[in-house]
Amino acid sequence: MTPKPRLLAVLDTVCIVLFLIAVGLVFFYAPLERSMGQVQRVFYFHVATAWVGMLGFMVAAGVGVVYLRTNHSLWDIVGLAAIEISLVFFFVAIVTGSIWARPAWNTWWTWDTRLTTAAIVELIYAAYWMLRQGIEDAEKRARFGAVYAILACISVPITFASIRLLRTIHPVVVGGGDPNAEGGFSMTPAMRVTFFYSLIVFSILFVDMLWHRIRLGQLAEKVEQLKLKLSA
Amino acid sequence: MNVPETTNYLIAGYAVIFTVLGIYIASFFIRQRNLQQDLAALEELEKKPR
Repeated sequence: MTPKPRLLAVLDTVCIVLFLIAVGLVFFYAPLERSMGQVQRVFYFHVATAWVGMLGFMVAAGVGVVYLRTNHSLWDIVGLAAIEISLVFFFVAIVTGSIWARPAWNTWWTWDTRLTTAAIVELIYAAYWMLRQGIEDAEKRARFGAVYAILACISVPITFASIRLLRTIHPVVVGGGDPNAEGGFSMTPAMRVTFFYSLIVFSILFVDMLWHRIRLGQLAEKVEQLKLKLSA
Repeated sequence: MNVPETTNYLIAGYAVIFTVLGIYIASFFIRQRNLQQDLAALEELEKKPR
């Protein structure tokens, strides 16, 4: 593995500092929301993790197109890295949403439009992960991964738009929403700052983690190639 | 207006966030160490005359 680039080391440090500031804003700067109490503070990182999840799935679809055009293994590594990170972040978003829903909706889970589409997205990409393991030929695996990532990404805008277009109880905090939504609230300027700051920090964190995961993927590829060479 | 007591849910939410992301980041280090060990072993094998 090549030594860690200086820029990546700087990015790591920047991410840690920015993340700690985000935690500080959530707990000490954003005001208490009076109708939900302390649990409302989960919202800042819940939305940020969901955003990173969706961002990674879209990135994977984009690099899937690039892979099909170039056939360069690097793009397969990038796509896999983006999906792996997004799976983790999206899982966190679903679980934190469920924790928020318990006091807000009096249930951990309901088959609401948003929750259902989000669960489907997570399962689609979990299936991507499992199906990849079953393909031994590296080129075939990469091509399958690229096509799957492109098709699967259709589920992402559907999930994003579900609370804006369909009847739902999930609140839409930015951009209005269904009057049936429960647990919605108006953001104060301090809440807005914390919310958008968290989104930006998590986006930078995604770039940092993606870079690390790509390096890991390149190392894994090197090991796999050496294994093939020695077994030949 | 009484503010509902939901601090336990807040703690649970952030515990999930920090734990899952912490484990995932730790997995990067573990996987990297394992791959580097594999690579070193394979390079050693490659050097040996067959």
